[in-house]
Amino acid sequence: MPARNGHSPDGEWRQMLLRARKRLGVSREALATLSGVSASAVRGYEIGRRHPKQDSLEAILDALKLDRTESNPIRESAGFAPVRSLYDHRAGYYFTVEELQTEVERVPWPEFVVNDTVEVVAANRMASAVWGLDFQAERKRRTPLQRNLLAVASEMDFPRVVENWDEILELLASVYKGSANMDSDLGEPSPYLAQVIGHFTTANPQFLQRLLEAWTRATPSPAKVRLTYRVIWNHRRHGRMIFHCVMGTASEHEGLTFNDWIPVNPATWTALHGLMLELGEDPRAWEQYLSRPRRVLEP
Amino acid sequence: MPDWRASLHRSRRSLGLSREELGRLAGVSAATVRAYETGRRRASRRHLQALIWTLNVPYDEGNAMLEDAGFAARKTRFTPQNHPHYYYAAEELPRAVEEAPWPEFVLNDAVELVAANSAVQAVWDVDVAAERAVRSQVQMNLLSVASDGRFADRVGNWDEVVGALATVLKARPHDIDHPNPYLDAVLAEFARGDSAYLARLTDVWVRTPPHDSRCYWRYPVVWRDAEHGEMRFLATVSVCSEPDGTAFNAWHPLDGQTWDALARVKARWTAVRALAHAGEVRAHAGT
Repeated sequence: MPARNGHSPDGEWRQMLLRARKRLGVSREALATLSGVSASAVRGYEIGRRHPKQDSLEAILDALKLDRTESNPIRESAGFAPVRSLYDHRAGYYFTVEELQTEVERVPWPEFVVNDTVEVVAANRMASAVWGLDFQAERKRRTPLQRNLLAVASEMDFPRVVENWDEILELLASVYKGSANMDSDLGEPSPYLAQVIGHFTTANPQFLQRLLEAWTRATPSPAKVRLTYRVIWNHRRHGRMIFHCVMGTASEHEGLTFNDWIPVNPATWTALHGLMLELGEDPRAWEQYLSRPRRVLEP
Repeated sequence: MPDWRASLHRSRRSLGLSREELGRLAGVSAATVRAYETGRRRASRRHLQALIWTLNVPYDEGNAMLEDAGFAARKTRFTPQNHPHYYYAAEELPRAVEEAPWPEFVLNDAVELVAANSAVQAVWDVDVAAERAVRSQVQMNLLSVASDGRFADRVGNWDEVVGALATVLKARPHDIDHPNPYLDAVLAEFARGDSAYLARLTDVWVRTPPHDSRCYWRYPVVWRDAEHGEMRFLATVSVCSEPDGTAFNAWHPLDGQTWDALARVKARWTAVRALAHAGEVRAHAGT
């Protein structure tokens, strides 16, 4: 049971409640019927005569269906704990690793998922096609450490293929430096990072210098629920592809993050269509999918 | 449930660390590491946590180890105490959405428009700041404008897009069968548009399954621009702030044709804005 907070200026929440009720055009009597809190109690709260119990206030907030940016200040000003997330305890809100391999195949662009040590845990066909690595097959063959994005990158020659490789390394280093639980000093890496770098260096020694330089340049960036980065990829057969990449939450409980590589111009789509044809897929499939009449949002 | 002792042993061996080295790095004795691995001793949470961090065990596996050893799993990595800027604050949103080259906007958990980038405004042909100045909060709800010709006549897959809004609204703890002043106000706004859409909305609402909201999901959008033709998007909805219940909606173009049309639509918007601005300047000079 949250304690009453005697420090917040009393009265502010009363005004906020009154304003919200008026805005929605609900009389005190109507609110009483909806919430099960008597009209005289509602009046008492609004004019400053009474203080609500938590249950009564919640009943009123629920009846008015205020969103949390509006209901939380009322809760806090009235001395109760704010609701921090609707979703924390909802089963199925976050993804599990098992679900992700199916999930990533739902998009036509490259998409993969990394865990909080930057190991790839799922990747779709387009990501595999762009990288030139069959992730499904490699997943079984590799140790988790060998699925670390840095390890994969050095093996698959990312530093040579990706035009803005140093920019990406710098972003990665910024995230590492800004996060309390991750390595910030490459001079004294954790055993895990030391192994990743070892793998990285063995596959492609000349890139270690670039990694060190990017790490030195990088300024710590605070952890953020969404990050974006650019990838300019020179594909041997299909030419230059430009992606605007978005990282978004797959599971905060399990530290999983989606990476969507969104093509940002017609040329990149043409190149991806070329890769789809090589995979034996129809590049027009998405167009057909969209032009098909559907009555409900498909899962 | 994996055996935490075996996981500890495996993680240490995979990094080629001796018990002494691991103990030194994690600040526990080699004897403790040995006792944990061989089952001689119960774990202390502090020591096990230190070992997990030192070995860089992925979050999910680390949680499974903690639970197997009889401790509560770490529930979230990003607490407001550790990472006060992890989620987006309202004032950061205009800049955050403007960085996207595609149409992108932010909705709260009542599907009210909180922020929108210029590409959205160009595609919708709507000046969001000007609309906000003359609209009530209920009128900023996307469902309340779904029957408006500016939206309804341009969305090729109306049922799906409205279904996506309904999914979010249905995930909130209320029920359309019970009186709900907020939803009533939204529906009253909706009813001011083309009345044919009311029946369709009821139909969509009934068929939309409740509680299928996830932290990351998608809906397709087919948008018809009178001048520049059809644009096809696959919209991605992702977390913006869980405490505030807000989500990014990014409309990712699905083909080159859409990128071309988008460039023309943006150019048109810039020209219209420049004209409007010139008009304002003239009006101001005239007074």
